[in-house]
Amino acid sequence: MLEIINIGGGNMKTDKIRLVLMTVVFVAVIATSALLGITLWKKGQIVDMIVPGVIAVAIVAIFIPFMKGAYGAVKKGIPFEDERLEKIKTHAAAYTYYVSLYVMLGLAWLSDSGRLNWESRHYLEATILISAILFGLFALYFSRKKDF
Amino acid sequence: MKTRIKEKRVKKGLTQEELAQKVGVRRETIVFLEQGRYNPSLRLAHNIAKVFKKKIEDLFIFEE
Repeated sequence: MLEIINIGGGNMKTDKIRLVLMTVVFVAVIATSALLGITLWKKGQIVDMIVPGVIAVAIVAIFIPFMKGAYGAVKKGIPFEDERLEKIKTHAAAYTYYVSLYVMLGLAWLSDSGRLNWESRHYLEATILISAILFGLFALYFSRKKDF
Repeated sequence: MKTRIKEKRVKKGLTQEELAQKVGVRRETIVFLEQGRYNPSLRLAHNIAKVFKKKIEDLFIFEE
């Protein structure tokens, strides 16, 4: 039988703690989205529920398979996050930040010029949604990029 | 960048998952490394070289 010696410096205990923390954050985000959805439902703002609804569904769709894979990896003694994933996330987050600044600037201009007349919270929701989509797209791009 | 990781791994009778476990990364990272699609950190390159008892330059071939 092959001797498995982890020389990569991985720490399974830290991985388990990180996984638990990620689950807590995931549950908190879903709970917040649900609370927002219920509040809007009570106010009768059914159309306004679309954005938090899309955010919640997107998070569930992305997070559940990820968490399933992560739990499986930790069980096998393999880290669920490593330097490549960290690099992808860092690049995706940085690019998302830059582009989101332009998006916010664009929304501010559209609002100030009178081309958009949304409520202030709609600008915030749109920015959150666009940022989340951008992060996903950039992460996908960097995960497939050659010689990354 | 080209690598000789797959060749050395197969020769040693290791699966991608076992190599990943040994060097503390995900299996996908090994897949991308073998395809020459990921530039590893110096630490990871060192750890992989250590597994195969080779020098880094024997496993990773950088093209100008």
